[in-house]
Amino acid sequence: MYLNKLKIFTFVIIIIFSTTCFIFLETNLLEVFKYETVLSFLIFFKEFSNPNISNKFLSEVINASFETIMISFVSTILSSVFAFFIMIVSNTRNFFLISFLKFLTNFLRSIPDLLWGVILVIFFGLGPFTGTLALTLHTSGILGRLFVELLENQKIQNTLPNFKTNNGSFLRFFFYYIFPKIFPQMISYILYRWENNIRAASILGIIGAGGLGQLLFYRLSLFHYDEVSTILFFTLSMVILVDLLSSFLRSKYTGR
Amino acid sequence: MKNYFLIKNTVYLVILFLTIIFSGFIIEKSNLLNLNFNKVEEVFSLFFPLEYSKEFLFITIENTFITVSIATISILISTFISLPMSVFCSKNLSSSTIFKNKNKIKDLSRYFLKTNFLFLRSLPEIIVALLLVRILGLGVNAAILSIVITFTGFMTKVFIEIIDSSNSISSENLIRSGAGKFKVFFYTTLPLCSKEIISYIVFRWECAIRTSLILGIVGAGGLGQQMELALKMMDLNEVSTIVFVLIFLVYICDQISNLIRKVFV
Repeated sequence: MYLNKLKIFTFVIIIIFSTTCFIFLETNLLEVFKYETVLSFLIFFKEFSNPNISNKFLSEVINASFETIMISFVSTILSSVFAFFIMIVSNTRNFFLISFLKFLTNFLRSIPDLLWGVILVIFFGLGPFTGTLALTLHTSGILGRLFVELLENQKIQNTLPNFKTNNGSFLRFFFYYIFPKIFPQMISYILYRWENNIRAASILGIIGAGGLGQLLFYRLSLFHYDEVSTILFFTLSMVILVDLLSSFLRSKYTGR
Repeated sequence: MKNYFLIKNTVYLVILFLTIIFSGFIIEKSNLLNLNFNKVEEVFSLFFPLEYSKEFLFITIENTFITVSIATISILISTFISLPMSVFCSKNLSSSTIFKNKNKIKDLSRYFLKTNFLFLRSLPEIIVALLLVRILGLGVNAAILSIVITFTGFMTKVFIEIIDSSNSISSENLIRSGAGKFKVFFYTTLPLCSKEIISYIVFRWECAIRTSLILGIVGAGGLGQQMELALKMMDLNEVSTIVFVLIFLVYICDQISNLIRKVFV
């Protein structure tokens, strides 16, 4: 029997919770299917149907999408380096250091990247640098937690004393024994984060942090829908390209 | 042979290094060098006496509930859409692959459905929300619909992978003896992979809470919108309170999802 009393109880609680959510919000989701909404959908799609492909605009969009890819790439690399250091430092018996690292990663992780961007724009001004920094902070929180868990799951407390009696330091132990074991998993986490970061980088422009999002937000505010549809096409193709690239790299490094 | 690997790895490293430097140049023409640290300290001091008046806390708690309920409803709807869709798209439950009669129309329609979900998940949710706000107007509906659209794509892809990687012997036997897709799904596949499916749904719920926080920026209500408004008014002590509430919210959601995972897995 795969349904016991506890599971049924949790199911009931989840159902009660979601119905209270429905009641709390007081919205009518069926408004989406009203006649006027469908009509405005159709008008919107008609305006989207002739994209602007003049040479000048295309070069602008390509520049912006390059910038977006670079933002996501740099922030992923930087944050994986930070997370690597967090992972190495986390191997202590010092209680305060461990709890501090836990608090740090939770703090960085729980503020979404766009809200990091909104806060950091006050400090560092507009521009792609702010976007890179925001993505780096959020991603290093997530990757740090994942890497620390990875190191904890290796159960090194059994093998480390053995190594230390043979005159090996922790770093040597790490790079010769642990690192080859966890390397494929680390690569796959980093690639997964890169896929997320390219999506995040393409929207960071909304708060003024450069890239394709800024272009999109300006054109959308000016109601130039023909240019918006070109930008959306580029965003879509960029994301799909990065997805394919990362799945190729993942299959190469992890054999999956 | 060893030499060959060494050269190959060095070439990879050099390429990586060059791309980092190149992209660093593209990103900023030395914004890093003229950072003004006096200003940073000045701004940082503005954040600090936390705002804790009664009315403000009440509004914050209400907004938190709005955020959580947006996430819950959208996850519920997208689960109800994506589970049947993944049953339609999975190879394990299709009679045409099991009987090997090469029904090309069925295969083609399956691939067509799958590629539709690829397009759904490749636009970031906030762009979808930006477009939907134009159509539906400001409010909760746009947020819910945009989360549903993107998360259906993600969830369908993962559910298809889960169903296809599960043990196919019993489902194949049932299909060979003439059972329909949904009967097979409910009697063999769901008991086999309910753990993975539930843990993925819970994981997506956490993601949806983060997303609905973000969607406040384009005007979809909730804690994100309150934070954006406070930032625009430069009420930085309100912002720091909201940040603490946000951390607390994410922590509690982590605990709840761990609890659910413990019960079901």
